[in-house]
Amino acid sequence: MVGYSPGGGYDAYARLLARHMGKYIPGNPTFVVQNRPGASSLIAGNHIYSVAKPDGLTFGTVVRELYTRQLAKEPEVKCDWAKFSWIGSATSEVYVVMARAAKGVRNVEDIKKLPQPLFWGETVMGVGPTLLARAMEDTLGLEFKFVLGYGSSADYAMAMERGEIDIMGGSWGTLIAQRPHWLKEPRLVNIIMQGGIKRSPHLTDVPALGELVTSEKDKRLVLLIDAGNQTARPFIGPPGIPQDQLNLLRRAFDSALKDPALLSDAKKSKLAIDDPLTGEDCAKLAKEIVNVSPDDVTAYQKLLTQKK
Amino acid sequence: MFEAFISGLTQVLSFPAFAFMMLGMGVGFVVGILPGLGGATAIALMLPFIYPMSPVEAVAFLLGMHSVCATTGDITSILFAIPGEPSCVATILDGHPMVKKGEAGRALGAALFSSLLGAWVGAFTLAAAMPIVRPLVMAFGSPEFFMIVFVGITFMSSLGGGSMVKAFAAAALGLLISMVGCSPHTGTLRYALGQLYLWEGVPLIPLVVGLFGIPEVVEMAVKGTSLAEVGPMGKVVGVMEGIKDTIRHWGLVVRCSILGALIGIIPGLGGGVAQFVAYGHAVQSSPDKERFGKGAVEGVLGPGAANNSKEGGALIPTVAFGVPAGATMAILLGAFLIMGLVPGPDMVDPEKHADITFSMVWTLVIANFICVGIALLFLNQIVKITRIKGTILIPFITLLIFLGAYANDNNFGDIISVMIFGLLGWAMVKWDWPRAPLILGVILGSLAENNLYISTARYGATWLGRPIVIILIVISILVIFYPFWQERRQKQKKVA
Repeated sequence: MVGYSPGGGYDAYARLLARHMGKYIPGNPTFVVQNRPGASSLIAGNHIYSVAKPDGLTFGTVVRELYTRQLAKEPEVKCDWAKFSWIGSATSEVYVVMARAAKGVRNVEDIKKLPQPLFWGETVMGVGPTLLARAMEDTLGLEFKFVLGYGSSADYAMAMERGEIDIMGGSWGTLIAQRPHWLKEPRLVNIIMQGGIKRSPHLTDVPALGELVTSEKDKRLVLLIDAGNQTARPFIGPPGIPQDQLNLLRRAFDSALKDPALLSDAKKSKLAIDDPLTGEDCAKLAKEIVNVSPDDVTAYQKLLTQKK
Repeated sequence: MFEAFISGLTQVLSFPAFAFMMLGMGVGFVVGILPGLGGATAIALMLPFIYPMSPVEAVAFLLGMHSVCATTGDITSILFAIPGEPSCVATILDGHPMVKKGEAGRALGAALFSSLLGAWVGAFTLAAAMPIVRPLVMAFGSPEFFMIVFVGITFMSSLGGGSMVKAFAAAALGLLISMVGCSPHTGTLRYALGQLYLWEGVPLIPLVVGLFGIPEVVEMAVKGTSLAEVGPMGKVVGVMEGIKDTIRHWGLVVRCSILGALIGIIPGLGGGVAQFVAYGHAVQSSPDKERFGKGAVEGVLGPGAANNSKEGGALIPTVAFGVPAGATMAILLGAFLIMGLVPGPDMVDPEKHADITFSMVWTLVIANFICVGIALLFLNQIVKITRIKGTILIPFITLLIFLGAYANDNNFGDIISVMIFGLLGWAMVKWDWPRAPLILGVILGSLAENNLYISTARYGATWLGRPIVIILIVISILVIFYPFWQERRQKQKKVA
């Protein structure tokens, strides 16, 4: 079950797995992908959690930051991120912050020197890039002016090319796959920094937010917002799948992600398979996220809306 | 550039590409006719099949499918008043009344032939725009998008048919409906009534299918007739008449095609707006507005053309910028990436991939030509459906309505939506309230709100001073006051 309509990233990964995971399960079952969009995949999340039977025959994928809503204690969230039966995550993600080269900013120090705040474009508050932006504001003392309402990342990327916005956040993988001309000279953007506690092995010459913050509290905040990127394409089943069946699914998932046919398919579709995480590791991470201290939750909740 | 133009043509006409195009067209034909099952879903499902194809073959396949969907969507709109695609709603306004008058063949002929001409204009626009496309699209920012949507809303004054007050009230209701869901700016839930189902707003397809389809079914059941209320004694005005109409009104068709293509270029606006702007233009440019809503063929020609020309326009931002101008384009974009075609300057560069972009142009031209050609041959047979007794058709159409609504998101809530909007639609028909402005309000509401917000957040009040914005403000004032001015002129003529 995919929490989005066909055609998007989560759907693409689900269909990729559906094509190749069957052969690692005895009996080579066929996988049927069902799309159940709505409420940014919360409908699918709730469905997988309470309606789907925990018989190992149903599992799905939802937005990687679904735990955000749980931490914000939204009443519509009827699922617990830590209690899902975690099958695994197909890849991890690195978010980068890019600013228009025309503004002359190359790093955080340059941003601080500007007389006016930069315009940060995004769809809504509360998604990965804006969480990062707000964290930058709260931990590094920066200030941005948020321009919200763009339909999708493609729309604000175009706004970037037009000069309508000055700075945005997004996936490094998507940048090099879909907008390589941004980095060719004359550059459109400078990469200011990357999210995460430390530099990703795919991007070693850009500072990570985790390096730039000093206090332990801030480092925990960075970890909390980056957790979604470590399980960038999460696959979860209803709680209570019997252990041996869950193990079967987990091993099939892991094997499928090493399968040469899947990897070749993924390469053709430009779907990155970088540092997938096993179900066990995902479950551990999920538990850590859900059990953070109330102080950390409060600091996190501040990131969901614009600074007052 | 010229070599790329020719190369595109030869690649499309070469063997495997041409066969794939025909295959795509076959799939597209079925999908386009089924209401609710959108071209977008079909393309997404076909994505895994394109891996082994070369770029031109995949383009021929997907675009063949896509362009046919846009053309055949009009068929169910006209015959059953159920839009085959959300971009085919405006065709219902005059197309379906024509069916009731026994002029189904004429309506279908007009819709299909104007679709063909529209598609050609759209393809031509894509081809002609290629050298200038990047600066052209760059000139349009959020303030300009807002103004274009605003101009679209002002066309409401021509959708009223009778009472302008009712038209504006219906539009206001539509705008209100569009506000349901999460506000993008603050995340506050508006009118979601505590239902997760409504978080992203009222889904469009069940709304449209229910609002237009259910009242028709009810009416057929109540009156006990077939779709064409004229009995066997009525003259069957055939498909050729429809084709002749298209040629007779060629100016209107060309203008609406250009409008459609230009609107299609704007990301996000696409199908929803183009059809209504074209319809509005058809109404306003006619000396006798009273005929509209009752089966005026111009009301079919305008949207029919715009529907298809917008596809050519929509490819422009998709190919040149990687900004999909709608859901279907978003999926096509995914397909391009799979094929290793990165949208951006390379796609319009004759040294690199311009020939592939030209093959898209040619696919649009050729696929539409073949599709319309074949459809026209069978149309007289399809028209016979309108003579089947209602008692046989009603269950079939009702099934189509509910299936179409559900197939969209696999959400049972959609069934309930269809019934609620069906009830609303029936009430509106009974008390003579126009439904088109409501749909216009729904489609344009969130577009207007988002772009207005971005414009003010980014530019303060200065966006009102931008040159294109000023031009569009003048246009909207003209559009609003034109009917009054025309009425005054006619009164003066009568007095004289």
